[in-house]
Amino acid sequence: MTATVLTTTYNFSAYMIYLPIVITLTVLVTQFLFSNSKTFMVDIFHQKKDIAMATNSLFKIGFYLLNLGFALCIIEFFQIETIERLVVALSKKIGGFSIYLGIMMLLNLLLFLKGRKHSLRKEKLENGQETGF
Amino acid sequence: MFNIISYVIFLSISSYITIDVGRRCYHEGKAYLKYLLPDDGLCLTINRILLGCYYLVNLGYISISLTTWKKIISLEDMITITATRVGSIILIICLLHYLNIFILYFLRKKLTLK
Repeated sequence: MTATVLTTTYNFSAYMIYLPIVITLTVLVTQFLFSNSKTFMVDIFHQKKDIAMATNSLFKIGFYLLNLGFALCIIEFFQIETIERLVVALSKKIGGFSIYLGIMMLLNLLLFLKGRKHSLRKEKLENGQETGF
Repeated sequence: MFNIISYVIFLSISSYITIDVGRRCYHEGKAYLKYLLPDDGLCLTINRILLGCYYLVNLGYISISLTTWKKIISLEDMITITATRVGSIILIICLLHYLNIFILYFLRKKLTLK
């Protein structure tokens, strides 16, 4: 029992399948989200390009950290005896993680939309004041 | 035996992530500090001191977290425990990072005025 050999359970192969899938999924989703969010950032920061790009990459770092940290924290599998169990456990975990990733992406998008609306409203207000006087 | 391997993996991954995140934030933080402070030399100095503090806090926490480590008896255990530890370190860095972003958000008025 003390020296568990690799072939008794499928846990090791489960980890070896889970880790690359999760990491590539996170990287792909983050690249996708933050290459599209540059337009939002330029709008939010009133066309100030340098600070918009800086904020974009700060949010990108945060998103990577959050999702990779969460993915690594939920890695623990219970004893997997058969290959059917392996498939079921893997699909449950990866499916759950991608649902979580989708919700996070949606929340980030909502944050960007809210910020954009707020800053556009402010810009319009300032323009209105200038033309009013 | 497994403990030593997991220490090495944990230390290398988590210190790499800490140093990389610190370097990136240092690079991006220059733009913010430039808005906040007109003086270029002071801005660079403050940025460097902040980077040093960040490294001290995070690397110190990483080395302290080595003291509470369970005995590892199998390869699966090693992967689980190392990954969970690295994950919690990443989540802590993430928490600090979002805290920073929210502080910047509250300082936004000062940032955009100048």
